[in-house]
Amino acid sequence: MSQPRVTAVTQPLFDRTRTLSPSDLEAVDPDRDLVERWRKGEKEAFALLVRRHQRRVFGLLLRMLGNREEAEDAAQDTFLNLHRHGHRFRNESRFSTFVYRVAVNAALNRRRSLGRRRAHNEAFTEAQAVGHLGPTLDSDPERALARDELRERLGRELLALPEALRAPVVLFDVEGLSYGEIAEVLEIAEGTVKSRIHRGRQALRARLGELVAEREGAA
Amino acid sequence: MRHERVAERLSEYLDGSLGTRDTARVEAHLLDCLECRRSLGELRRTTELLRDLRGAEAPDVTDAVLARIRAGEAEPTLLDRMRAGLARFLAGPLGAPLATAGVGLALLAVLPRIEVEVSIPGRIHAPAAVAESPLLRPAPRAAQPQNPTSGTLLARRVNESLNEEASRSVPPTPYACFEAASFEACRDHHAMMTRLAMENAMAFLQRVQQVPEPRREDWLGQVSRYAAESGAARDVAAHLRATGDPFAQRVALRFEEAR
Repeated sequence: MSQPRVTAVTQPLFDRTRTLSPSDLEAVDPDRDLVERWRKGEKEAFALLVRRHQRRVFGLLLRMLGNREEAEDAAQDTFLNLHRHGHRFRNESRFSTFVYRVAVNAALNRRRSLGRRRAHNEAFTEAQAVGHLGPTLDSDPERALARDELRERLGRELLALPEALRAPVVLFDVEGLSYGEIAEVLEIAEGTVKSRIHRGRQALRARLGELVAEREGAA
Repeated sequence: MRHERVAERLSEYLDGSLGTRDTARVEAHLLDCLECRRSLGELRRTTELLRDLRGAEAPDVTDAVLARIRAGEAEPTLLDRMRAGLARFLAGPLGAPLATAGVGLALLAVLPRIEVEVSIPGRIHAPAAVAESPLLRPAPRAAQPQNPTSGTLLARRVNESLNEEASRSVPPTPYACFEAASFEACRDHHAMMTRLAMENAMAFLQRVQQVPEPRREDWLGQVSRYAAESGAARDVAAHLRATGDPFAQRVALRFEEAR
């Protein structure tokens, strides 16, 4: 039959569906030791936690806010809030999940104030636009340019999504969290996470339209 | 699986989160559906592009964050301190009893409302005729346990909560006084009930209503007999009739006929 052909086309990317149990967390949360040291008053432990998480926090905030300057400010807010509210972390999930939750809240807060300060579309035209990630390391200049343009376009289209769809898509497809972790971060049901990811991807696919289709055809 | 259903689950299929059975169904549909195959391919391409966004160059904010912490910007706000203080208090030696009392008060407020819906072992509901009485309608329907040993703590709490005002001044009816043979032993109780009927007819009617129905007539017979012996029966009947409540009229009749 033609089963092999379909499997080749549709092979799932990866499995991030398994939710970690408390015993799993005990074993796999790489932050546990640092968190304990921080709680005992070791300031350097908190600095290490910031260094460990700031890149991912910034990446999430950049995709949520669409502006590097705003993302950097929101990243600082995130870690200040984390320091202020760290006692609320109960070891029931990974510390990184808790950090993401604080970051998403910081993004939402900053987005509200951002909205008050300037029109939504102005953010797109700034030099520090969401797609700008620094030079692409590609030996072929033309291909590198096309790739940068594509990423910039994708960043803009992501920003055009409603926040309710953008956050789960960014957390899953960009940051690589599992459905269960996203449910914890956003404090919504796992079924809702799946549904929003699908709707977000479909909306992006529709907006990217010819870009996705061209690349698919060329592949 | 229908086309629409497959189209909704393509992302889950792509992520490998479908079970074996659903995966097989989706794949069977994909064999025949060009549209879904195209959708799947474009969704996959979209996710590949999104993954490509990973790894943005990030500024190091550590020093700035630590400086702001040193400047006191990460100190708890007034609201945070109030929350933390409340949490500490509730966790302390005084907090637990107070929290328990709070829950208890909330339960007492809620239980009379829900008891109509809940069957509690050992409890007997008032007859429908009494329940329909306009005077008594605001009061929750309740009765003393028929058997002292069968009354649960919950049932007792519910009963005690029903007539708080009357309960403060008049002790609960001793179970022994539900028996016709206990007239002499219950004279004090009968005296209290007579006084209650004179001073607060409504509270007295609620007491009547709380008596388990099989014992109510006997109990009412004893109280009205005591009232008659002490010369108060006519006054009690007048107080009861003055309420205008149909149930009160029937109870008043017992006092008027008492010898």
